[in-house]
Amino acid sequence: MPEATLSTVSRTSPSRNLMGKRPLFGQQHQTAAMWLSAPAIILMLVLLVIPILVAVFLSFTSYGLGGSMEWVGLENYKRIFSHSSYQKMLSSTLTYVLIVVPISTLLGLGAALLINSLRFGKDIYKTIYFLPVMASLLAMAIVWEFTLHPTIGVINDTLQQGCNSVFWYPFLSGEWYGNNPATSWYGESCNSNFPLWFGDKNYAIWTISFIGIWQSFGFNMMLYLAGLTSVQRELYNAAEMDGVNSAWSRFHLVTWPMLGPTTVFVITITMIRSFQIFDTVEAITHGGPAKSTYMMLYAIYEKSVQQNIIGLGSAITVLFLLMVMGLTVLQRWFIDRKVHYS
Amino acid sequence: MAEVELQHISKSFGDKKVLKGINLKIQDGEFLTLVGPSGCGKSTLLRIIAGLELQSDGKVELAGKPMDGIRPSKRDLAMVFQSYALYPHLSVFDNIAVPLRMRTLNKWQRLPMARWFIPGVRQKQLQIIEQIKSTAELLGLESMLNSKPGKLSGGQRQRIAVGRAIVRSPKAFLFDEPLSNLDAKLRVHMRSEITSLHEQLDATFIYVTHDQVEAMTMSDRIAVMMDGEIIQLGTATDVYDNPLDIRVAQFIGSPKINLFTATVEAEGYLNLHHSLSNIRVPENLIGKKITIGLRPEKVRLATSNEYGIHGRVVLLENLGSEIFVHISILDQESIVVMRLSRELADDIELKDVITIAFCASDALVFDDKGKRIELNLMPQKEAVNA
Amino acid sequence: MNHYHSSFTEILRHATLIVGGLVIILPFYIMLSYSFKSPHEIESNTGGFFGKQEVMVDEYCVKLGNTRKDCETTPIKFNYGNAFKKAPLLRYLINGIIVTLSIFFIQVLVALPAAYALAKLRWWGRDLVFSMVLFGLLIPVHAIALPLYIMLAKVGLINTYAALIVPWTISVFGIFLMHQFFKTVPDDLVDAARLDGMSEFSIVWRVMLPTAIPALLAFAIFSVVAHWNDYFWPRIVITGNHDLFTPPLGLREFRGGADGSDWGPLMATATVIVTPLIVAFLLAQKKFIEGITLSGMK
Repeated sequence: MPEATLSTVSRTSPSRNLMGKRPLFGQQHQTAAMWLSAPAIILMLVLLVIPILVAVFLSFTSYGLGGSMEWVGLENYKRIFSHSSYQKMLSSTLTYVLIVVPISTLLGLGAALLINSLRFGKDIYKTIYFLPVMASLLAMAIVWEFTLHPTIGVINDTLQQGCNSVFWYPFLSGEWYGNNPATSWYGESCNSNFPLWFGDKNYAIWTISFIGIWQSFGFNMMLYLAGLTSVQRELYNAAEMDGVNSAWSRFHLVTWPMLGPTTVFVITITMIRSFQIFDTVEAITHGGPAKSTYMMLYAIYEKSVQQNIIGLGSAITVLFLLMVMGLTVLQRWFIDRKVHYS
Repeated sequence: MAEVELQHISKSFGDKKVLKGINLKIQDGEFLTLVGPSGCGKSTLLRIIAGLELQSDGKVELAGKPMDGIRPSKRDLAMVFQSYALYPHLSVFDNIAVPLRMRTLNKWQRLPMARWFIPGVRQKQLQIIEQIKSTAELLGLESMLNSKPGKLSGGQRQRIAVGRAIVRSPKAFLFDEPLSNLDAKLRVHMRSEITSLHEQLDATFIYVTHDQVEAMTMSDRIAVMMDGEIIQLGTATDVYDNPLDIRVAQFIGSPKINLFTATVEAEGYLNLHHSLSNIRVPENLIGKKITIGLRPEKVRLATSNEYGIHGRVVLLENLGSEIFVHISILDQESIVVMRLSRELADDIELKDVITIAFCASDALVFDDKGKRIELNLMPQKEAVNA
Repeated sequence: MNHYHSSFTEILRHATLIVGGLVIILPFYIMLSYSFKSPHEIESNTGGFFGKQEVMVDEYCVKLGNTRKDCETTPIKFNYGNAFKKAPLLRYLINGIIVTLSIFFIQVLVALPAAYALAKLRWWGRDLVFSMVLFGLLIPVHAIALPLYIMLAKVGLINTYAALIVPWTISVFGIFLMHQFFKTVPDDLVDAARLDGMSEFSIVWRVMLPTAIPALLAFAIFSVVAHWNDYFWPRIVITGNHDLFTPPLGLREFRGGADGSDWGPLMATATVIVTPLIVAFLLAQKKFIEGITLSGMK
């Protein structure tokens, strides 16, 4: 295409550049282009490239604002991989990502499939499911904290009331199929108390993940809905003529393969976002209990801004960058190609 | 037996009536074409036969059995789509395999590792492979069985779509304008391939197209559709020589039929040129405007002692084997097109004034509503000097 | 072919979606409802959606030395009043608007010309710069917060509007989106403008901008939502100056000092912060959805 425009554009002769020469044919708009993109280039360098270099550099030092800088080599990195709190940081972050990404993707897909097949009411559901995406995660996390409050929160309160009910207690504790209620989760909780959703180290990571999924799957649903409309209608008709008559077979033969590119995109986006979880952790759990929700971005914040241990914070930053960028590149290169058919 | 019967099929989309009471019986093994301009409802009718659309009224019967409430996948039909609708992520082999696998293996047998666990699956799979290979040979697809459709040309994809349809032997084959996305040369070639396929398979073909050449050259019978109705059903000869409606006369045949309007005068005679003046129409049409049609090949150069019409040549179309001469009749606005062989047309140049003639017995007469009237010729009167 | 889906499965689908919808709506319901309730109602989980709105006594006001009579108020006034009084919520909202809009405008100022240069002009270095953009897309936005923080600290810009705005002025996503969009604009349009004597600079703003409104709208939605709701970055760079708090920071501050009686005002604050975007979304749903899918496709 550039070749085609060249002949039309050459009617206006390019202006001479600073050296008084006419630029080569292929570089007609050199000066203009450079001026137009200069702000972007400068800002990219200053705000993206240089910070990465700074982070890499500082990760090899022990630095604190207002303090001295000493070269410590790989010391910071060694600490991360040996010290238990940082190991927990890595495992919590990975756990969170591994819980949130698949579930958020699948729920987004499921919601999109359900909504797409309705005869009426599509728009209402779309709106409802997309609301969490628009709301500040911090605000909604606080609301969830309130909702899941051990004593005054609605959830536990309702569960507690169920303990006295004639129907719900036997139902939820498994009494109705012969289970000893005291051994079931519900029965036990009725006797003692219902869980501290954020305060119990067995529950906290799941609660945080739940909030993360709650907030993100509406967006994935939208992406899948867009993907579904781009599937060639006739393929479904062809499948029907070929003898495909169950919803599962239709999904397996047409829908899922055609959604390949969308799925890659959804997983990539969800993954990048979930690695960067911060709001819920900083506001509610502060990385605990027992570092079970100690996420990397929070660790960076805690170490660098709060405790001024910038060298270590930089090392975590570098690791974080490598992990996320590495995973993104892997996905793009290996899977993305398989998924485009034309 | 695979005859298809349509009884009073109607279809409306909201307020728009797309099909208005179609009655049609398609014989077993017949090649029947539904032909008509865009929007006449032919594709809709085909999809109703397939079950992909639900008719608003009327019944579809396949091999004597009513198809109400039976979904497409259970009707045992196969369809070739205009866009081919091949599965982009599957190879050619797998594309053709889909209908076979769906119909001969149930969902457990289709699982990837099934052949290690379920008896009989391996045999069936081998049979499937055989069938696919022979279908591929029939259509010349052996060399591309492992490629994906995205890498192949339009013509190849079209054949794969046909292969997918014929690989199992359904009761009938439905074709929805399969050749319209191909270039002209390929279209001509594929026409003959589909026709010979029909002879080889000896199955019922229901074919939809807007191209009257395809309809004429390929079909046993043609159903001409306009505005949601079948206005004529017959063989190619029937439809060409004996159109029952002026719309059929105009649609079938290339170049288009020449048409002249005339007002009916006293006693049913027409105020037309002498050559047509002995045509007599029923007296109830007096005062109305009727139309006379003449095929281009029925127009000829007048011999020296014949009394003809004068016209000026305005366009010459050279097709190599013959010439279409467009003549503007002097003192009138109508253009007449005639077909002449090269020898006869050799001396004719643009802007020449030539004389043309025709026989009234070749005329097709249509009443004021476009319906065909039988030709009624009175004895020729003496020529009057014009 | 939907005529082969039975009404039964249709009902099942609706039922599933409704149950899911309830889980989705639950926190919004709680947030709104409890922002109307008195402390007593909050603790006991009573009062229906709107709360009974019985007259209550503001204990804190009594502590300040006023009489009980003077301190009577309704729960809704108490909650929302506190939200705006205890911490300057209005100020925070204004900060939010200033920051969000400034960021967006500067992003457009930077991204649009660059995207045009990359999409429509041929020049030495174009591929290099485009690779930079693609590389930038790989970088998770918050990952380089720390070095940026240090750099800002070194030039003394912590606790300023500049700190809140400047790091976001480069949006590689914006450049990329605009680039993909500009590629679909016919070259003839640009050539015609050149023949009319327009400079490249004017072409960007007079020719490309009007055609790019849909893409800009999509980008605006992304940018505004992301930065209005951003908590991480403001948390890092605003360390002392409460006047510069953005809405999420304000909410967090409130939460930090909250004791039992503050759940009501806390919910009220959350409602105030969340509502603008929700309302904008409800009013312009189609545009939002189109915007999301447009950028997703690219």
